[in-house]
Amino acid sequence: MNFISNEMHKGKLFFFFSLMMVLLASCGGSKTSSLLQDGDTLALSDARNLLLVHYKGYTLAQLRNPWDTLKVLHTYILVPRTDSLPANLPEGTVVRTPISHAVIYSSVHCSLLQELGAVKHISGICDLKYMRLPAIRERCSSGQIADMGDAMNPNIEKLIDLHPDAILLSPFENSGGYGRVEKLNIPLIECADYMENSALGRAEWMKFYGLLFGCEAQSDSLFTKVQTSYLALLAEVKKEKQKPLLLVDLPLSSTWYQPGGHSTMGHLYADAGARTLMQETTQSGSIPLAFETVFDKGQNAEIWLIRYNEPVNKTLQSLSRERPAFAQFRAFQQKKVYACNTSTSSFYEETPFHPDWLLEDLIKIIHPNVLSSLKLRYYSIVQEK
Amino acid sequence: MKNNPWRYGILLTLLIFILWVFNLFVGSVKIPPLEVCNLLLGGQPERTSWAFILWESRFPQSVAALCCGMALAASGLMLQTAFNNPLAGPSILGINTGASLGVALVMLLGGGTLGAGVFSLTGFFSVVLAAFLGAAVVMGLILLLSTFIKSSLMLLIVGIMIGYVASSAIALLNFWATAEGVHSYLIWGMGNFGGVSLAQLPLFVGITFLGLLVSLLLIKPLNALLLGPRYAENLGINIRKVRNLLLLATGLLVAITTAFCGPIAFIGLAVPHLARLMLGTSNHNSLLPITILMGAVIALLCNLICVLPGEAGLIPLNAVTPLIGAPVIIYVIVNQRKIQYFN
Repeated sequence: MNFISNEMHKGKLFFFFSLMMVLLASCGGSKTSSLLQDGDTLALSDARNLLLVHYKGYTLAQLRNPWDTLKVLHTYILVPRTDSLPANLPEGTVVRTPISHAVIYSSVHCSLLQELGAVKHISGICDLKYMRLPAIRERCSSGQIADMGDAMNPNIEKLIDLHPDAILLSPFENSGGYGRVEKLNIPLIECADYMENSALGRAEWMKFYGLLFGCEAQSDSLFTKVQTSYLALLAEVKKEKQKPLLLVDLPLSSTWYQPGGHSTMGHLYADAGARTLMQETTQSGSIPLAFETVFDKGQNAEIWLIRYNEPVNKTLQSLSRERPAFAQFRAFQQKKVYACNTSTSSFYEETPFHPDWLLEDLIKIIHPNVLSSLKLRYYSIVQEK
Repeated sequence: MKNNPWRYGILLTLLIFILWVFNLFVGSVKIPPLEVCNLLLGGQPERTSWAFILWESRFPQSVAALCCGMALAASGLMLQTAFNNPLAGPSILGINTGASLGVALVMLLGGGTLGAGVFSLTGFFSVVLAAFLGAAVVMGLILLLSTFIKSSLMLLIVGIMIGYVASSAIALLNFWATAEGVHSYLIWGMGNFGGVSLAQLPLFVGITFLGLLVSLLLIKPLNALLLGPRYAENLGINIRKVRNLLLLATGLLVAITTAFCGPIAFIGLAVPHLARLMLGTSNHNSLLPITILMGAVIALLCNLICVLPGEAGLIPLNAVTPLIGAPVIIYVIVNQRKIQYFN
């Protein structure tokens, strides 16, 4: 309870700060005088780093810097394409909406746009080899979508040639900017959704993307659907007294990462009614641990969840051949090992904006008696051979 | 003789034993010392996981650290003598990089699988085999080139060049790889002594000791090489044969350690200098054994430092070894004139 009120408090504080900033900015001149008039803040239930305010003639979208929460990462002024540019616009990157030709760096956002019915607005992507969505691949091979090459170093000449309305990319901390892409005079939409701490918070960013691509109604209703089903699942699992211990992932040479107590995955596992090895910690990322630590804490874990990206599916046999010590874990002996091969499943594409689907999978594994259907979407039980 | 090598030998052996015992007693998980004693004497543990941790994790890891330290230090010394270059080390000839390239191919290109038709290996074995093959290929290449190239300095440069070519291939593989692949490759590259399981330990120890035995048999020609190739030839040493034997022994030692434990930085480069500073001599009769013992001491010490954070986490091995290695190298460079063995 205390935590929640604290979070609410933070939310209020953030709102207050943004208000102050807007006020201060408005002191600069008369051009922003209309800012406070008839501004209609869109109420966001879960996203912490996003502020959306509708004004007459435009919408302001302010992205809080997730690495320094007192700062603003980027301010966007969304002006409908059909309207003329209002005279008193506040400072920020002007984006004419709806965007009709966008270059999108990550498959996550492509997947979202596909679900929102805006796939026709994608005119370029990066890292074609990671794109598993059939619709995108088809459009790529038919030439409707161009491949810009590596997301970290896109082909600048192709980008100039394509001249999109906007580029959607993922910001990284202290990455030193986006290089020459910044100088093309094309609005860069910094998709900082992945830095949200809660799964629903990240998913709520779809409202922002919906505004950008002119599918506000679809994104609102999709988020409501996701949120409702997530909360319903949460309520179901709340009734369960038993909280099985969960062992997560595979060691990388000597290091075995486990989710920290305040990490997004840590929260998600907790929401699914499980305990994790490091849930008492306050870290918001993964914690590197020695094999023996994980063995000591997790030998009696009831369930083991693995994610990997390999052409061949893992089996219990291949796991124990890889490291004979795996066979000493209780979850292994009781054949309660579940794996998601991300090379064949759409885990990374879908779960960021569909945390309800992932939660459902997790609950089916962790509390099989709660949900009637047992068909899993991403994970599957690891076969013996 | 002022610096009696026997005294150092006994001292280092004692130190190895103490550090080895410490390695068994101290780890990421707190096991009460009495429990460890009880377990070592074959008693029943309070918790079954402790017995497993001690015998399946700490014991092989400490023995692996011991062997790796000895192997890397010995190969470092042999390479420094063979190339008459105080800054030569196992990583300089590209053998290390060759092993890394093998691993990069498996981890970044093959998705963790090494396969050809029905024969297919996954996970850790594929990594070990790939590292070994990578190291063996580079070693074979250098041996082949050494039949054409007479000068040791030229051979050293060729080795460095081969290393660069392998590095560029690794950079390309990293560039094209998935984030997961890059991450697991990065972690492998940080090295760790925990890669050898109890079942693999006899093989690992066997190969290491074979390599060490060969290196000990080469003491006499190594001493002759110190005088320069002309003098050595005059003393009846077949330079090419000795050089090839040296390359074979170091290649074997580096390949086996890198295969199981990843590319471990600095031990091979720094430990021979530590031993020389200690003994004040370049006579391999005492220098090689002391270097080998010293390598074991340093590796066990590094392994101990890695687990210092306890249950809160781990320090990667290659973040620890340069802390010990780099100051030694700097000291050697700064005092190059004063240190007796350079003159």
